[in-house]
Amino acid sequence: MKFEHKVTIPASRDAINAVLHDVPRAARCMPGVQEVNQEADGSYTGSLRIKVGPMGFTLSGKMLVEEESAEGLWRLTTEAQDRRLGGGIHANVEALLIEGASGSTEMTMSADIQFMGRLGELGQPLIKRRAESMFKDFAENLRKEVS
Amino acid sequence: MTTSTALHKVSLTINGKKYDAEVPARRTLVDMLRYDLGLTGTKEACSVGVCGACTVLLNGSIVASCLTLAVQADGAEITTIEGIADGDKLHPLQESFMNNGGFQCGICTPGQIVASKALLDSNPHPTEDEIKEWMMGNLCRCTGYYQIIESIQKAAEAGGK
Amino acid sequence: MRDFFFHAPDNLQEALSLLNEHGDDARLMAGGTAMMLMMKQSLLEANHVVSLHKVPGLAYINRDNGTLRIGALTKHRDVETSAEVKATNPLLAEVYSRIATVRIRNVGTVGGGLAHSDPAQDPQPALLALGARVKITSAKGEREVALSDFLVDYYETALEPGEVITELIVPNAPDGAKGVYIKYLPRTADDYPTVGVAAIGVVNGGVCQDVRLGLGALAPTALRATSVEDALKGQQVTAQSVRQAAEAVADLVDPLDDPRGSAEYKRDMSVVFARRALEQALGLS
Repeated sequence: MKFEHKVTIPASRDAINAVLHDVPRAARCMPGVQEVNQEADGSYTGSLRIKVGPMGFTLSGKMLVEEESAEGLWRLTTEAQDRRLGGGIHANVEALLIEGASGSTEMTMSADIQFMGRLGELGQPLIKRRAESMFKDFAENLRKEVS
Repeated sequence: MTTSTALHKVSLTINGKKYDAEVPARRTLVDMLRYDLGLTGTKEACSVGVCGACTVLLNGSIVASCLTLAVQADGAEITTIEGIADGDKLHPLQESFMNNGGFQCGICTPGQIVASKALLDSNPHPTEDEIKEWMMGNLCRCTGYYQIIESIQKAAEAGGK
Repeated sequence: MRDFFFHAPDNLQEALSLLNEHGDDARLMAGGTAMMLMMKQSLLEANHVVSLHKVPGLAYINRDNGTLRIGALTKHRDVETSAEVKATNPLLAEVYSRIATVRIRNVGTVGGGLAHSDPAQDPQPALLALGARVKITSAKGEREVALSDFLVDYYETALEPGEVITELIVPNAPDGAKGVYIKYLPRTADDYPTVGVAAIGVVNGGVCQDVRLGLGALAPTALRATSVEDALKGQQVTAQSVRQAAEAVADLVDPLDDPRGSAEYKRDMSVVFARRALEQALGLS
């Protein structure tokens, strides 16, 4: 499952990167994030709750933020499982930041999410819809956090 | 979150006989019939209410006992496959299934008999289409269904109640 | 299944106060078929199941001045077989008869089905086409909601915590109307539809006086295609106009990819079956 979302943030690329690299702060912009803990090796663990009607999915796992490249690319990879249901996701999320002349930055977020196991069988059609709106909310919350 | 270990008293009349048991809330009716009460005629195959193997009559209507909680059935009158024959005398449907190749391995057969009995009780002379529509939820992997339909038709012709 | 506390109150007030007492931890159970499936698959966990099966007075079908009032605990099977329903609103009996198999219809309830709110359920397209309403009761009183407002999203309704559906109100189809429900099932006969279309039409002297179109399994909830209806109302009924109107359905739907069909396939089929349903409802076939 892949999708993309663009948003313009009235802030510099550096200001946005500062938030994106502060993983707990960036994670709080994602609706449903329940906790984020830093591990000794620099990675993060956390859990995310997604609700679809009466059904709830709790994804727990690891997140790793990769180094920013010169092109202004921020990448997060995550592997998380739903322990109750079985199965989980493997996701790559990228944010490309292009600073404009006026000091605001266009952020293009793209996500590539793979569903595995039972979560894939049962949850994918439902979560897919929810995931898109969650990413839109994330981008919007990030915009508010930075500006 | 606490998990309940509370047991619920459930009283059922099954095939005319009264049964009492104490079961947890999550016990399904099919599990109660088979494990708590030793009535193993009713089978569980899919566990999700689509195959019909677990069909029983509950207060006169067929239900999927794998989707029914025992506690939901408290106080109900239930007929299982064990209650279809009249003592040693088989029901016309049972005779017909035997005589017309209505079963092979037999795993779906209790559900087929209970469901088709409910059909003939409410509609003594169903058309082939009516049989197919009613029996839609009773899956069979062996017979290919034609002999099941024929068994029901022949039982209906013989005055099948 | 994990164990849970099972409550079987014998009156509605007690059921509501149990809901209020346990909040998020409690869920109402009516017939329980959909709920049992979700619980068995670990998709839903309720520590307190509040069963309505002993609550009296919520299973009935009453005629009331051009509408049918159906109690929330009325079984699907009772709507299907009711002489009252068949006489006053045959489309309603038809859509309830198409749900799953007879063993599910013997147990599932009208209210439970609406509270479940799966976008592919059979009754909703026709209920929307008929302008149905839902009566909701809580400790604070009662309110009525149009079904179109009640169905919010996948498995989400306008029910607030502490509320229970008590009645479905279905206006009759207009006089002289022809109603049809097409359930497109490329897989098994007991499944949810890949595409479900309900259409009601009134034609006089070749002119479409009234037309209603409900679409199921094509969006997060069932939809009413009012723009398509408006395009046909007051116009001469021709094969061409119906074809054109049906084509507009493709822009209204927002289907999911799932084992019953890809989003693209469902979108294509929505046009085909909208056209066929409209043709039947408007007397062209």
